[in-house]
Amino acid sequence: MKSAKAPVDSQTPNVAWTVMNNLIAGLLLYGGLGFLIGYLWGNASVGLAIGAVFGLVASTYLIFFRLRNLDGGPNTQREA
Amino acid sequence: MQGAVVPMAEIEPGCHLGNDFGCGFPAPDASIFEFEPYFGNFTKPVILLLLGSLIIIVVFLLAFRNSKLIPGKLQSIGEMGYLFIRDGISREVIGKDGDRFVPLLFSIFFFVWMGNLWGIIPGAQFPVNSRFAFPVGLAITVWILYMYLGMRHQGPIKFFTNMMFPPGMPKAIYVILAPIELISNVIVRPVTLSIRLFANMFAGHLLLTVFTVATFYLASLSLVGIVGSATSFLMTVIFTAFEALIQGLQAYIFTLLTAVYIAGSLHAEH
Repeated sequence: MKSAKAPVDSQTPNVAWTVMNNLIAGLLLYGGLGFLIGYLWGNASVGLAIGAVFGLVASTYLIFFRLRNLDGGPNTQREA
Repeated sequence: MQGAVVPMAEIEPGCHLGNDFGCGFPAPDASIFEFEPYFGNFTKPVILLLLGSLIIIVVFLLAFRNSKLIPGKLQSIGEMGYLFIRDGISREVIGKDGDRFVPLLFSIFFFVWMGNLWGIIPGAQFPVNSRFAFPVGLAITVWILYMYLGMRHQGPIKFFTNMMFPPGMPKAIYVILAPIELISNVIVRPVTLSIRLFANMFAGHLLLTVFTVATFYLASLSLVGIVGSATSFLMTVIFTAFEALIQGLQAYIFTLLTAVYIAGSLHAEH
């Protein structure tokens, strides 16, 4: 971490610290959604499993997307 | 070790240590975090918290009471603390315009650190932040602050849309990812902030108690007793040093994350 001069610099730790929050949020949201759908469908545990995996995949994608934007990516100017 | 641990031979002759269930290793459980109030609602954590706040106030009042150009010992330490927060956290994370938040970050850092530090101060030996209500109170304060700042600096609706739609993503993906961002920033943030501090202090105190109780429990005039007790005591010392590190680190992380959240509210991601 260099001294904070560019806004990209100042956002770097932010993105790093949101990784865990994003994973938890994805897991909770889509796990919960999957559970609900599965419950209505008649098999809550299958819905929960599928939803949780989907949520983790989605939040991982989100994390990769934002980190890629941080440096070297096509959107470097617009800091993530 | 509150109530649960009953001393020695009261239970049965020849018994070393035990609890309500009889003779045996009185494994520390959640009850060591519960205290009877001394008077009113003043329990040990509350007293320690108030005492800690008082110590912080007095120390920094003395440090900055008559500031000199060439600082004395206490003033140097005070200035080191201040510069650490200003340059190490505030300017690093928020930037120049974060200077107006330095008093807040400074207070949070030393408040949390002092609360944690009680865990290894002889006589007190209870980290205040291992009671969940205290980290929760701090996290709620931080939550209100960054929500307010975000709505003021980015506009009440813009704040949420900036948060939910990081630029440059394929449109279709937004449907899936925007709710994650919203929940992550509004709900999960304060929860993880408080749990991180609470769980670290809780686990640390439990660990120290296990080894301290084991030191007493194993002590006897036999090979197992001497070796086991000495090892437990050594572990207590090692983990006390380790806790000292963790306590400072958790206070730093809590302050750093507060600064990160404030920065996120001040400058939108666009």
